[in-house]
Amino acid sequence: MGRLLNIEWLKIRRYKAFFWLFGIFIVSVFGVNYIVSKTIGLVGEEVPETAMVLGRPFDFPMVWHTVCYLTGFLLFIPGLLVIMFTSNEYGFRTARQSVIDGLSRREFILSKILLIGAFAVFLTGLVFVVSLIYGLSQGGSFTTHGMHFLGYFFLQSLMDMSVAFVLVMLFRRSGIAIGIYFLYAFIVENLIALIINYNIKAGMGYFLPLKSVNKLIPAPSHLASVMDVGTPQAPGLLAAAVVWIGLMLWFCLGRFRRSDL
Amino acid sequence: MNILTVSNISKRYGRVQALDGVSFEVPRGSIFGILGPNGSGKTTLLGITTDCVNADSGTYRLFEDGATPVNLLRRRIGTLLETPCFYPYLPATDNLRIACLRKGVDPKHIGGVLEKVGLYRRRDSRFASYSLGMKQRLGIASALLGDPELLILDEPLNGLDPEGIAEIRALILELGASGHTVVMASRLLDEVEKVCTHVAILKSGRLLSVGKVDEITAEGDIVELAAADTQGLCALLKRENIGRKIAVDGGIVTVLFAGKADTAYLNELCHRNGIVLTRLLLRKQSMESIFLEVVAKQGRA
Repeated sequence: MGRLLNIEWLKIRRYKAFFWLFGIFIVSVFGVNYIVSKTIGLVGEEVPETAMVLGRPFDFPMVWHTVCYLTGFLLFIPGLLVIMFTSNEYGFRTARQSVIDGLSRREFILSKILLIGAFAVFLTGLVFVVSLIYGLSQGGSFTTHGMHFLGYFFLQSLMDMSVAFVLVMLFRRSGIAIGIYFLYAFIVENLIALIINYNIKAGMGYFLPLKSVNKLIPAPSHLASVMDVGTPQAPGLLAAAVVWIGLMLWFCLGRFRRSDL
Repeated sequence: MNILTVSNISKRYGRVQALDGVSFEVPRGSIFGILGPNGSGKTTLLGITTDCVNADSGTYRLFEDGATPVNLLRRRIGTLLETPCFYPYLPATDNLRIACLRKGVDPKHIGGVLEKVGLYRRRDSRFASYSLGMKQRLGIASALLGDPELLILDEPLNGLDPEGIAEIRALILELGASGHTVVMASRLLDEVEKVCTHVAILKSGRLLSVGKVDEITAEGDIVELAAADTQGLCALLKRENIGRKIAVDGGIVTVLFAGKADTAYLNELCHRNGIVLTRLLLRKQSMESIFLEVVAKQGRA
């Protein structure tokens, strides 16, 4: 397993596009949180009445929740990275070469899964650091209460990257995969969820892959809850998320096993 | 020991039957040529034996080992399939380092294989900056990593300049001489003739013929003759029933024999009959003519 990660690292470390994209992502994580925290601060000053409603989301313990929620919007970028790396293997025909050289089909997919896992760990660590910085800078006292959102964030990053992985395994080409990735994330899944929630059973729509992890980290303020219709509880969402991730990765393995390279 | 056994392999791509019931055995230590025109199924066949392509039916066996997982057996093989596949943004050294990790080979061999293919000086250049011939050489270098017992090379001379062709040909012969087995797919008939000990002839997915190159070319010597009196020479040969077929082209009379030709006898015969030869040349039947015959025979069958 270490060997497989080593191979992936050799492929990544000199890939300029990776550093650009990842760099932009890290800057964006800090940026998004900064913008929101500044905005809330300014609005609170200008319109003191809203201060009660908005609260101080960057204070401990709520900062864990807030940063996880906001950073969650950026998780499409790691998804793009997964698409990029996997479609490269098809484009350069190095997926074929990997198998020829003696990697089993299972090991090849495992390499990509390990890469996704490593990204997810790094991203969660990043969110931890950002939360810590904000929490401490607001002058609060450190608390681990609410840190479970980091776990949900880890799951969310796994999910977003797994969906991207499924799409690139289906289409092999990065352009199509990226297009459908955005279409699905922003439009298609919302549509399906709406149809299920209003036509079939309220709340069932939240068991869809991206929706399940999104709802695990809901909008921290009280405003957004008005829009939610019968949101299921965390254990159900957790189970759905884990099952979806498992199914998707298993699908990718099966698909690669059956393909001609 | 048969290092590779192929049993009844078939593969269809849509309407095209790429391979149809192909079976043969590659003996250890041989230089085994797979000869066939473009589209005959050579690359598909090699793709199946390296697990890139799934066969519709049939099996293959490596090292006569049915127990070990195939991907582990593949680490004992050096392969170059179709075109060399590397990461264009990485230098040769990194690309080979990745190959070493995949194969479980010590990276210390990288310098050595690069030397062997003449790429050592360009080892730190990105793969994308390589010419076609250099890319091909890197592919061969990768196949040589870890000194594998079996090499599978698909058109190894593709894209090489004459110097490169001579070098790689010498490399393959050296590998054969040192006990390695080489399976070489080629559409270049004379390369197979120069290098291979065994040959399998493939056309349109069917195996037409397989055997030792020596045995195949042992039938039918060819003798080229020329004399001042071409017509007299031909008449003499026909009268004495020499050979199974006589052809005249320009001033050269080509006689095809069913078996071995006795050039001393021919020389003496002509002299006795007053014909002075200006040319007497003994050739083995070329791979090209064998190939064309085999294909024609199958066409008639």
